[in-house]
Amino acid sequence: MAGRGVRGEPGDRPLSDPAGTRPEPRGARVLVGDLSLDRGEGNVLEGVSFELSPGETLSAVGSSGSGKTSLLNAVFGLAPETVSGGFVRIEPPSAKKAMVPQDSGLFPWKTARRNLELPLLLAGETREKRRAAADAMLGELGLAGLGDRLPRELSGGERQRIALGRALIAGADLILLDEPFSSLDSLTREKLQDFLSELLRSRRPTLILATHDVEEAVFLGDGVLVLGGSPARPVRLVRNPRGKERDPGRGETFFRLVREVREALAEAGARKAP
Amino acid sequence: MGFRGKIIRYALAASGLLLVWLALSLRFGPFVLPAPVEVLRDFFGRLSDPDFLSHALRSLARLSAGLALGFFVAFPLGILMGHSEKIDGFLAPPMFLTYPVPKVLFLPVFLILFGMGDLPKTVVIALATTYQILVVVRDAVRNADPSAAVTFETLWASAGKGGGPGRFLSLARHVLIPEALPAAVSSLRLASGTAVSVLFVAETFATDKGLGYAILDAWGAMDLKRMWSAIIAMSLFGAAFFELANFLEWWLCPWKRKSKRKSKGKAKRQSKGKAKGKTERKSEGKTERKSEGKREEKGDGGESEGGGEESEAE
Repeated sequence: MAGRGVRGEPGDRPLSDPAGTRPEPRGARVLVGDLSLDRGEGNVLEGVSFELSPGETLSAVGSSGSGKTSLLNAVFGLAPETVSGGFVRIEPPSAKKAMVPQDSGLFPWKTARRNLELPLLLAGETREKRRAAADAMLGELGLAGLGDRLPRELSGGERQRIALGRALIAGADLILLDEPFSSLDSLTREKLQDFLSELLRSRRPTLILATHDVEEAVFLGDGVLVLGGSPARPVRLVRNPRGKERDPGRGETFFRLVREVREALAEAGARKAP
Repeated sequence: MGFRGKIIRYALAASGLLLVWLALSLRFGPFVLPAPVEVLRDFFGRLSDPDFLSHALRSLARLSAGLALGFFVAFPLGILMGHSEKIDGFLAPPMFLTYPVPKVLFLPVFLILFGMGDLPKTVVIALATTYQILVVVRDAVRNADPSAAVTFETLWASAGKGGGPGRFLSLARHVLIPEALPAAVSSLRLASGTAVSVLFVAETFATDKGLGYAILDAWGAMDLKRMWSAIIAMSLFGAAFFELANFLEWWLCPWKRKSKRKSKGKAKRQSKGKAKGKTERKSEGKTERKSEGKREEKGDGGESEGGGEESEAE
């Protein structure tokens, strides 16, 4: 999917930009070539190649254990020792990366606001800047007034929003989401998917999303990388021709692509079975 | 558990104890166990006795200093050991080897080393409590869910920072200390009991100050009421440190509190604030009604019920 995603229109402006530093287009270029990953018991993932232009989104879909999390970790650079072949290149190398782990990764001992502020605190921002940015982000997340709650006092959906906000607040160029909505009920999940696609439209970071939810993968991805087999390999790369301008109704094309991805997954499953 | 409930339970327990005490004193007579009323009258009388107070204050000072020293050695050391396999590899074997040794045995050594003043007593209390706190803190950090540290790792990398002591200090501040605090504070509860026992032993020789000395002195003079007054004072110190630990847990670890924000006793005062919170949340967070459904329903139907429902929901 080299460079084929729909870019932002020149007139597009982010709805808000709390960090207020980066001009558009935001987003890093990601090149992954023939990547193999080994967590110590043989390869979990083999032969993964893709290229993401700035602002493009890729969904990696596959059953659990298909190495999606390992792939995200490798792209982030978290566990370089697992890379047993191939390469990951991020351009520019100074691009800011952010990761949202599966369980939202909020610190239970920090309030929503403190969780949001943490990336800025670590970056050495002043208290005033952190406060302002967190206030703006809470508003954008639709959670104004809930800043002083601890994570356990928030609903699952609210927690995930805070986690997304924490990834966005320092102005990330590349965001990696690991099954961000898997613990939510389906209605909340769809609302958050809409919310996320809205955020993506306004901020346009490059995004890689690991999920086992096919609808989610198609809805949010400019491309859907189907992983299957053991060790997992890319089975198919389904392109989403609609680009960023999603029709709100999850229309005909959406369901055609969902079917296509499901077929690819079934194929991979059949191949895996002896 | 509200503050009032706690007072009531303490009062109930105290009256139960007094009844048992009364029964025993009737059985054994005033030369073994004076009646509780006599002793309590003596105890409250001694609260204005400067000699008794100076004993009590000296004991309190030794106890506080010993516990504080023990805690501030054990807490960072436990975090280091729990976090770093390398440091743990060096320190854990000697620690476990000496763990079963009753630390109060070292009192004579400390008397030789540090002289006859308060220092050896403080040090032996610190040593005895350090072990208890250290083991608990180390295990808490060791067994903590690693995902928080991994998340911190990603945030640290996102902030574009390198390694070095800055990274560790930041990790300690945002992850390790919060992980260790609840366990550390609850180990302080155990340690407060140990500290009082050790204090008593430490004050029974080579000193003429402190409640331990006062107990033995009164015992020698067969002044049983004074002896029991000193015993009560010492027990109260133990209870006070226990409650201090409870308070510290509540204060320092809000994420571990049982009921959230609202306590049952304050339904009236809290319901106002809650209603405000509710409307805010409705106007701004319309999006995920489903997951919030339970909460909303309860809130809508039961606003008049007050704050009680909030803690039930937890």
